[in-house]
Amino acid sequence: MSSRRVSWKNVVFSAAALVALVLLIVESPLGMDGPSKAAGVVLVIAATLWITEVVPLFVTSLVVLFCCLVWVRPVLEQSGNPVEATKFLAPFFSDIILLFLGGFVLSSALHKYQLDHRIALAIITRTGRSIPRLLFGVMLLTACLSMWLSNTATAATMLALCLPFIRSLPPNDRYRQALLLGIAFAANLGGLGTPIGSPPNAIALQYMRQAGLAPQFWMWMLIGVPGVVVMLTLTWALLLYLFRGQQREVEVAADQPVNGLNKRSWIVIGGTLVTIAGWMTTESHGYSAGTVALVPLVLFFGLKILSVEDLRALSWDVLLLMGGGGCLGVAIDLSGLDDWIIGNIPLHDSSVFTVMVAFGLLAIVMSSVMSNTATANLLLPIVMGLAISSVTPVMIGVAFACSLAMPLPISTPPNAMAFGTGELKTIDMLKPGLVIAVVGAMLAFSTGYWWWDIVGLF
Amino acid sequence: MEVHIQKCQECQSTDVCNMLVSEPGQPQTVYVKCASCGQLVARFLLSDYYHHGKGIESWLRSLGPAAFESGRDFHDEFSRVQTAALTGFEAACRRLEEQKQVEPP
Repeated sequence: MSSRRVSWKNVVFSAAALVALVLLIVESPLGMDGPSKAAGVVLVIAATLWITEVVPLFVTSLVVLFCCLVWVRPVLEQSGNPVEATKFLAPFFSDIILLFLGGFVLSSALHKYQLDHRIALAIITRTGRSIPRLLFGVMLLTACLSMWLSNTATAATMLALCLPFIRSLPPNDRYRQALLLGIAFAANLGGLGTPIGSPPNAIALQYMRQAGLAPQFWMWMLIGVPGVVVMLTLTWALLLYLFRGQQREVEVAADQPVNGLNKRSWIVIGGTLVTIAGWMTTESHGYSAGTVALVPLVLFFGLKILSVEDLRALSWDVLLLMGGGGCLGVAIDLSGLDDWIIGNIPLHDSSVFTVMVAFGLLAIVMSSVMSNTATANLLLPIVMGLAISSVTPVMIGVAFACSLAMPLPISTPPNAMAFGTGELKTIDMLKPGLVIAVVGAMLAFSTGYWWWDIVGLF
Repeated sequence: MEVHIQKCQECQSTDVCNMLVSEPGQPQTVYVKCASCGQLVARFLLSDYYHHGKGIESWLRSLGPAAFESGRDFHDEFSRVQTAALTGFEAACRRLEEQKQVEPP
C-alpha cells in the first residue's frame, strides 16, 4: 500500500515539475513579467509538494526559501528592484513564530508535568456516567485544551485518557465511534479559538499584521470562541444523532493514580497563567504577543523546568512550515505576482463577502486533502494580494475554513489518530465531517461575518 | 545484532518482571526485577514506548507535546513504529535461536 502511494506521488510530482519547467522555459503566454513568473513557478512547486507530501512539509518550506534566494531575488535585482535576502529570511523568525514557539513551550511544560492529563482526568471523572453528557464534557474539554496546546497533543492526550473506557463499551456500540470522533473533531474546532490554537490562525495574523490590521489576542478570542461553542454543540448533537448507541452509561475511572502538585508544577501553572494574561493585555502593556511568549521560554528553561532535550523536542518542523508560507507571501508581494493575480482572477471586482465565500470554500476543499497549514500558506498570500477594501474578515474566514475541513482520516492529525484506533470506517468520518465543514462554513460566512462586524473587526 | 536475555546476577534466573515507572518531569523508567529472588536486575530509560497489545493507545501516551501537521505523516509514523517493533522482535528471536544453536547450554 505504501509503495503505491509513493509511486502515485512521484507521478504527480513529475507532472508538476514538468509544468513548472515549461512555465520557466517557454515565454509566458499569460502576460507575466520575469519576477512574477519566477514567483509563480515557486508557487506551483510549493503547491505541488505540499499537496502530494512527496517530501516532508517543512522541507517544502526550505525549498521555497532556497528558490527565493537563488532565483526570485536575482530576477528581482535584474529587473531593477534589488531586495535584501533578509526579506525572505524574516518570516522564519517573526513575532508570530515567536508567539507560536511560546505556545509550544507552554504545551511542552503542561504535558511534561502531566497538568493536561490532570485537568482532563479531573473534569472527565466529574461529568457523570451518562454517555451523551460525557461526550459533551469530553468535547468541551478537548476544545478548551486545544486552544492552548497543539491539536495533535490535545487529541493524543484525550484519546489515551478516554480509550480505556471507550473500549469498555460493547464492541458494536455506536457510542464508541461518537466518542472517538468527538475528540478528533473537538481538537480541530478548538484550534479556532485562539491565535496559537492552530497555525492557519497565526499565518492569517502575520499577514494582517504586515498590513497593520491584526486583531489583538483577546479580540481573536472574542471572534473565535463563540464559533467554537456553537460548532461544538452542533457537532455533539450530530454525533448523537448519527451514532446512537445502546449502552446509556459508562464507568469512568482513573487508569493511574495522580500524585499531588510539586513546586515545579506550580511554577508551570503560574508561568502559564502569567503568559496568557500577558497575551490578553497586549494593548495595556504595549508589548507584542511574541515578546510575551518569551516569558515561558526564559522562565521554564531558565529554572530548568524544561531541559535542553525538551527544547530539541519542540515542533520546529511546524515553525519552519509556517515560515515557508511567509516567505512565499514575500515573493508573491515583491515580484508583483499579486498584481497579476488581481488582474486575472475574476473576483477582484467582487464584494468582500463573495471573495470570502469563494476562498473559504476553496480552503475547505484543499484542507480536506492536505495539511491545514499548507493550505493557509498557499491561499492567504493570494487573498492578501487581492487588495479588496476590507481584507481582515476574508483572512479570518479562510483561516477558519482551513480548520473546519475534516471529512477524511488524512484531513488532520487528530482525525488520523482517531482512525488509527481501528474503530472507525472512512464513511463514519466522512458523513459528520462533511456536515461540519458545510455548516461551519455557512455559519462563519453568515452569523460569524455579522458577529465580526459587531465586535468591530472591520 | 547482539541479543541477550536478562539474567539475575544473584540467582541466575531468567524469570524477570519489568516495572514501568512514569513520573512527572522524568523520562519513563523501567526497573527489571528478578521474579525468583526479588533483586534489582537492571534499570533503563525509555525515549518512547510501544506496547503491541495496546497498539495506538500506548503510542499516543508516549507522543508527548508533538505537533504533527499532516494526517498522512501521523499514519505513516504509527505504521513505521508498529512494523519496526514487530520486525525487530522477530529478528531478535531469530538471532537468539541462532545463538542457541552455536553455543548449546
